[in-house]
Amino acid sequence: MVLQAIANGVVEGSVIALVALGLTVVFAVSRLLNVAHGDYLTFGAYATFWASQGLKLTVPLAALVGVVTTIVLGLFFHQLVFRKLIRSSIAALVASIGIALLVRHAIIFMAGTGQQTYDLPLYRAWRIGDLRIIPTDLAVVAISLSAITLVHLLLRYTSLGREMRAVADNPELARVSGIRASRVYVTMWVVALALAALAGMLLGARTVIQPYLGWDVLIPAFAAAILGGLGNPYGAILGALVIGISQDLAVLWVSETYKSAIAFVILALMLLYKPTGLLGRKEAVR
Amino acid sequence: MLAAIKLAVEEINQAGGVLGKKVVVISEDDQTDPEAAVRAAKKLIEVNRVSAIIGTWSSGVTMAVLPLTTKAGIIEMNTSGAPEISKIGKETGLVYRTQASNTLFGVVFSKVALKEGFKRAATMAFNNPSGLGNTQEFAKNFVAAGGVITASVVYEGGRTTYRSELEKALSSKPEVIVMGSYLPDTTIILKEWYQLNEPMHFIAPAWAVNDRLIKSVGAEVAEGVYAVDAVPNFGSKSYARFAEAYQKATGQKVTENPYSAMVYDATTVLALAIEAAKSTDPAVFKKYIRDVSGPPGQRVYSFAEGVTALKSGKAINYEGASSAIDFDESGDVRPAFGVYKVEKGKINLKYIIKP
Repeated sequence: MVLQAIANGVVEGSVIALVALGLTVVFAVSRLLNVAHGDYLTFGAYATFWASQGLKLTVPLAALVGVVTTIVLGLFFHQLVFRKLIRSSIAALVASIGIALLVRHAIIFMAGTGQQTYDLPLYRAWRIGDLRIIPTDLAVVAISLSAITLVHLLLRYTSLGREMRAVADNPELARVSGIRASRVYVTMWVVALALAALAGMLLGARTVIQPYLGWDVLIPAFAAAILGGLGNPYGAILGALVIGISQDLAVLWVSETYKSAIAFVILALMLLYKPTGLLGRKEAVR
Repeated sequence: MLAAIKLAVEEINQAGGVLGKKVVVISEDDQTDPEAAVRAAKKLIEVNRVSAIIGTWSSGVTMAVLPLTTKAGIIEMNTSGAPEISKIGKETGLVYRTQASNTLFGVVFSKVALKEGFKRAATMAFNNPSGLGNTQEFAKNFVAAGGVITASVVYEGGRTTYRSELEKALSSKPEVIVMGSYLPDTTIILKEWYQLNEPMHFIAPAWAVNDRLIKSVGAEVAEGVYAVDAVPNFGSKSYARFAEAYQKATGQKVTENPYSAMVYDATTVLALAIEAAKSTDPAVFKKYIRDVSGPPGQRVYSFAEGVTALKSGKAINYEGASSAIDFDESGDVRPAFGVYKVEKGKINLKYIIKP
């Protein structure tokens, strides 16, 4: 039972990690708490759905369409709104709430509030001892892990990644050393939006696609990002796994009714004893 | 639902209106959202000065609107399930529902489980008055009839997975899982259950198990799931007439949206009560609602028939399209229930239960 709960938690955590990673990358570079991230995710799920059902594209192609259109949508709002609000993170936060509502209700207007599903086959679980592993879940973890590795490689080993980290560490210093901020912002959005679209597809494939898909996962993802130390990509992943596993473990002892609350109990304890988060540094909180 | 209300009003106005005046419907969209519903109800009460609000569907919406209608002293007629609504109806005499309460759903769930030969059951409930009402009443009746409840799982809605909740229910080794659930969560739970590859039977309300669910999860996953819902008053003259008019107006069958018949009846009963009371003041006509809809009295099947009988001084008993519409002291009805089973991607009516 304990092993099974941990396995379930890893699966749930790996999806939350994708969302939390997107949130934290945006925060690290631009100090924006992007509330619209959840609805970008929903949009990615729907765009993929439309591409696969409407245009009859194959799954990988539809996924590509989903990622690209989500990036286009996000960059559009960057150009239109966030680019002009870089100096005021509060104004940008409020604007992101507005964009979240706009995107969500545009989706409701086009697709209705009913649920949709991808036309994917369901596979029966494998039994390994007492453990039951669903093949689809394994695929979800694998895809999530590959995406996280890609982001890691980008941040660590490319000049764009180095520029992003430089801006995250100290925007003024980065500017005087000749890093072009606009290029960094666009890269940041491309990474975050691709992660959002991917998370949307994985969530949609595991569950159902509905207009509140992203909004529902935003709160645990924020919790994970803060738990790991907001702005720290590795902290966000760790935070997501901690939240995913502890929620599923807790069900063994606490009533499952309180499952959603577990994330916040952990978060509250963490903020009491180590306000910078698991991997956060002091200067990350300004 | 609005289409059904309009059909009823059309019939009423064709028969000369209520107290010689045409009835006007003012509609607002509650968006199945308690907040939007409260705003809409405030507008209807304060701006339009309506004497009744008809057709709130979600229990959450009805519970949110009731304090307003009670304070304004107007009638509220809904198709919600929450057991708490009965209590308010009993106290105020202002609340009437043409849908069966969850208490009654629980009774029927238990009858279905026993009839299908299940002795051990687990319950899974969406954490809201309706979900809890269904499963708690089921458990009470099932245990009283000698059944065993192996686990009672209550889950929060809006989650991306219910796997650990489902495994908790499955690991208690029940023969059937009884659900107090909605469409999205039922979709996810059934998908996860199928992948876990553990044989199990499910009984769920029909608003969660319907054609949309089968489309979402596929015929193979949904195979053998039981769905339970109140059925229209098949065989009554009012059902025959309404079914035809409704299909003509919307292109939809009444059985696809049983709530249409419920609000149709609510509207008709309301008009008959006002006619009988000769007053549009809710404080006056509220006690006529039970009189015109329940026995004793001459059975009538339409507004026109009812008005003719009332004018000749007779007591009437309206028999509706959704049920016989005999309100009890809490403003609740006791419709018959249909038990459906998913077979090869189709939902087939298997038998009718009268609670």
